[in-house]
Amino acid sequence: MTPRRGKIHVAVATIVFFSLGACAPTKPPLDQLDAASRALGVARDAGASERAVDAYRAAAQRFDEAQAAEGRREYALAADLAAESQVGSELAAAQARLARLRQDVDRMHRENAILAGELHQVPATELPR
Amino acid sequence: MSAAVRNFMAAWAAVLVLAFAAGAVEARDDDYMRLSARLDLLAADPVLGTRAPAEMELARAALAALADSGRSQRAHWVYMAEQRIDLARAAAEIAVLERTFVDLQREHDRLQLELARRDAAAARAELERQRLQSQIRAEEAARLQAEAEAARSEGEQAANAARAEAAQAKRMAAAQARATALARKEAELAAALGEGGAAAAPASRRLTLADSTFPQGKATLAPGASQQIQKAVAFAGSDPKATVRIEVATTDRAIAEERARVIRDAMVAAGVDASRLTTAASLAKSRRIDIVLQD
Repeated sequence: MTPRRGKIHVAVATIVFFSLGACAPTKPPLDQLDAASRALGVARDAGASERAVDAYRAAAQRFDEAQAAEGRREYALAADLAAESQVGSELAAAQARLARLRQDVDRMHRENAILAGELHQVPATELPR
Repeated sequence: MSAAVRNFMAAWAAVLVLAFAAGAVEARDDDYMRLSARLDLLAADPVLGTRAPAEMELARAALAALADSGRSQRAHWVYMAEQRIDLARAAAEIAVLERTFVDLQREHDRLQLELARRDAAAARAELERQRLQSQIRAEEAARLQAEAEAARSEGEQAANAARAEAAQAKRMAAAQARATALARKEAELAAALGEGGAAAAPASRRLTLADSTFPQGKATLAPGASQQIQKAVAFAGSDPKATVRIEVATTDRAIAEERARVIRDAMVAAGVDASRLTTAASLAKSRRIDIVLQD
């Protein structure tokens, strides 16, 4: 390698380093963290902590990791983890709603079966006396 | 190091780099292909495929981001795509179940309405049945009441007849008692006659009238003598076939005869047949008036 080619390599490496540095976030992802926190609250209110335990726990864990990354000033990682927590919370809320809906549908099936049974029963007043 | 050796090592390094790069791309393609297949399967589902278009679009965007992602972002986008696909499936299932639930609610309402109508019809039928039964009971009660009224009327008539019979019996008993009393009295009177010393007639055939029948020394009936006359009449009636002799004794014969005649007239006036009556007057120290029945 000639000295001239080495200088060129150093220059290119420097430019690449600073370019990459310029692309990395320099501010904490507060909006993403806030959105993730709200999504976690919505999931909790939807009963996800009881009906979608695994999904809710994973979302909460990612939110904790996002906050920790933000504390370490690893803002890109914090933003990614916040986004993962948010979508995880949305999934937990959906699964909780799904579980509740399944219960409601099952209950309605049973009630309708009972009503249909009553309807097909001969009323006492119509029995021969 | 010779130039040949350096070239050989550089060539091997290039081969290793190329192999590593090819492996990474293959792994990335595997995740992408797996997730893409899952999303395609969901989209092709006849029930769920079209139920959550917005969530499906977000899942496709995440897959596209995965396809475009570098090595540092690959795990993130694999996670995001996986979650988005799961979310799309859950959203589609929610939409289906919500629709099912609405249908079930509608069926529930229909069944309840039908039951309510049937119950109302049954209630109306029961009401009508009760009304008819009530009417039947009322008619039966009226019939029984009429029968009871008739029976009570008959009972009253029977009771009246019984009362009348009882009254008649009572009257008869009273008459019988009176007759018995009269007979007893007659016997007493007869006994009294016997005690009076009349020799010939038995006690039951002689009746002695009280001294007060005539005032002292007179031949006219004293006030209150009518009772003595009635006693004499009754005594004469106790044996209608017998002749009745009226015996009067006093210290004055004329007065005795007059008194006998007065008693005879009074008894005739009271209904005694005159042909049955005879009179006898005599002198005696003690005054005496006897009515004697003779066969």
